[in-house]
Amino acid sequence: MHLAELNRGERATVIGVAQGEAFCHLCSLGLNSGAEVELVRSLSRNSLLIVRVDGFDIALRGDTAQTVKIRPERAQ
Amino acid sequence: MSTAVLPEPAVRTAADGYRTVGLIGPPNVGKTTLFNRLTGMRQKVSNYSGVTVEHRSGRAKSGQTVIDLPGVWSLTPESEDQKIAVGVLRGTQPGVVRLDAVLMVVDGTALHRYMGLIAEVLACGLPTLVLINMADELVARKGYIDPLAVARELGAPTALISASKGTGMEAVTRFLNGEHAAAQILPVLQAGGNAASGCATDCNNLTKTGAYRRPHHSRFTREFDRWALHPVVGPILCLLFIVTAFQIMFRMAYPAGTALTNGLSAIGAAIGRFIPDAVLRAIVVDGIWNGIASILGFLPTILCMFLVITILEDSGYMARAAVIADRTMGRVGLNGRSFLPLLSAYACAVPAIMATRAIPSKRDRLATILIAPFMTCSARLPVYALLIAAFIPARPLLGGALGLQAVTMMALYAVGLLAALFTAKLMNSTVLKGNASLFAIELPNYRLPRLRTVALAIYDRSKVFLKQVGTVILVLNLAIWFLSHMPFHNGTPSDVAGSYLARIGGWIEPALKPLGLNRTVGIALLTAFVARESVVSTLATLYGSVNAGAALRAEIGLAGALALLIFFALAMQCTATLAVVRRETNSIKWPIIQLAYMTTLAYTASFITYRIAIALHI
Repeated sequence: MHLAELNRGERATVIGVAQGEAFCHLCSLGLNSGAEVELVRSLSRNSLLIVRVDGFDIALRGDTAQTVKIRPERAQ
Repeated sequence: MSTAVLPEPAVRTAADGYRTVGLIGPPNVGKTTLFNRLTGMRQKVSNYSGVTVEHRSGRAKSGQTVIDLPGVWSLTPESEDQKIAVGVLRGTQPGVVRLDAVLMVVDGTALHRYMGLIAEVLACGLPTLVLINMADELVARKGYIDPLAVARELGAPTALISASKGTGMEAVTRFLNGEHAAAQILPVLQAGGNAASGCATDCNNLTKTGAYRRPHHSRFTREFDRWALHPVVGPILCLLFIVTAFQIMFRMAYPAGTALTNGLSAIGAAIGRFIPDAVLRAIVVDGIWNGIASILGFLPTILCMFLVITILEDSGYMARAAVIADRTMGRVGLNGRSFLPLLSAYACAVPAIMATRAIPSKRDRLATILIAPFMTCSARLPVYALLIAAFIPARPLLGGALGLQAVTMMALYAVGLLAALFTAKLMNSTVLKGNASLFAIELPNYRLPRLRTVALAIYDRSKVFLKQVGTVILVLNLAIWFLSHMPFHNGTPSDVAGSYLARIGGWIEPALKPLGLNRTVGIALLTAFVARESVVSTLATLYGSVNAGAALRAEIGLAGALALLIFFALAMQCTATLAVVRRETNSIKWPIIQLAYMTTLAYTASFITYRIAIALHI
């Protein structure tokens, strides 16, 4: 499951980020494995997501969010 | 005050202290604020050899040379910035002296993110002091950090500081003077006012010190973001900020710049009376002095632009504006981060292109640089005003709510914007074809902009503009001035009509004929290369009257005027912009491509406009 599939208000834990252009940048925003994430809201039909990462809000495009693998909280 | 001159690093410093110290850390953690605090005005900004990455170094009050390394997130040499940071840390970067010690700056409010980078820097083996910045903000947001525990965990001296308020700086000075031995666990405790809170448990698995509690995102930030990022309210709020910024720019800064130029010209004319020789007087007053005056005329607009930008950035709002703009930007292959530079370009493309530095992706940055000059800058305004006043009747539209002249003006703004979007789209599928641009941005806490940060940012950018761009503008200005006043007859300069520039105007006349324009307009367009607004004064000189509008109407007619307006809206006619593109892309290729592309586009569009106007018997 990846970050873009979360529903509003759902929480999850980051398992890993796919290697690629976005990798470094996403790590710098705190999306490392183990980070706790929560979808705060999605704008313009999921093309832009506001995600709370360890208590800090970040905004990212839906397609960028697809590179972030997560484990939803329910499944833990 | 010798602001521009930096003493050689070889000068001896305090006994046993370090001579060259590197400042490293991720972007936006207050590294530059600390650098400014350490070095004051004793700074030198240049580029690392062969690349566009900025090299900033300065002399600390205690005598050391401090090098501000590029902001990096990791030491994996992936980007140019990271390669250089690694090169400097390892002492292998050509042209940069070997470091004796390192000051590592991180943001205390998000320490858990930086543990990896800290470890990488410590592994380089240089004596390192870890500075946990924004200690005050951490405490204010109910976070907690025990620097002793962090120091023990890291095996390196650690200090809490607030670079913006200047607290904890004694620790830095002591370290610089060599009072801490390398690799010794010697933490420096700062009275942060939080020692009493006593919470020593932390679940953060990255720090593992048990002495760090992450701060909360402020309640105000979350509440305000509900509106700032709202699908409907958000864009309206954003638009409101933009309109306000524009009002300040056009109502205050632009007139101030014009007044400054006029005032300086008047002073120049007064001084000129004391120069007996006519040629010398013309060179000194018209060539050099008025050239400087026209450059300084840009300054209020640029200062104002940077004031607005820095306030929006420092307050934290800019990240939200980028989020709002991302949707529109995404359609033409750009992203939200291009929004701010493109917005600035409405004032002047020069600071706008300088502002593209904040865009992390090189491809997006280049695309933004290349389209920025299409936005209608303030120097185009006087020309639009002159032509519109002369050719477009003041007919009321929509029952008097709008005038035809105002609509024409807005249409010209739209033409520029459409050309920019079209070009971005075109580049996206041709020269800059590649991966979809990524967009991910942190939404920092809102806070009141700090006066010191704002003042320093404005000072810094104005200095770069005046020094690096100003000199180029001045040289080109002089060249055009000589062309428009040579040859000299019996020791007096010829007027523009009899000058070399007029001859060149004659050569390009055949090219202008299809656009319905004549030689006079050609000469004016050539002088526009120095400063777009000089078209108005050149036309006034050539027609020998202040009312150039009436004279123009008689010669080129409405069809020609429309063609001229379109040409002017799209052409790259600004040496200052070309100079700054050359500097920011560190290549001569891009400014040439840009000039060729914009001129071709302007010519084609202008030709089509003229033909349509003729066909419609306008």
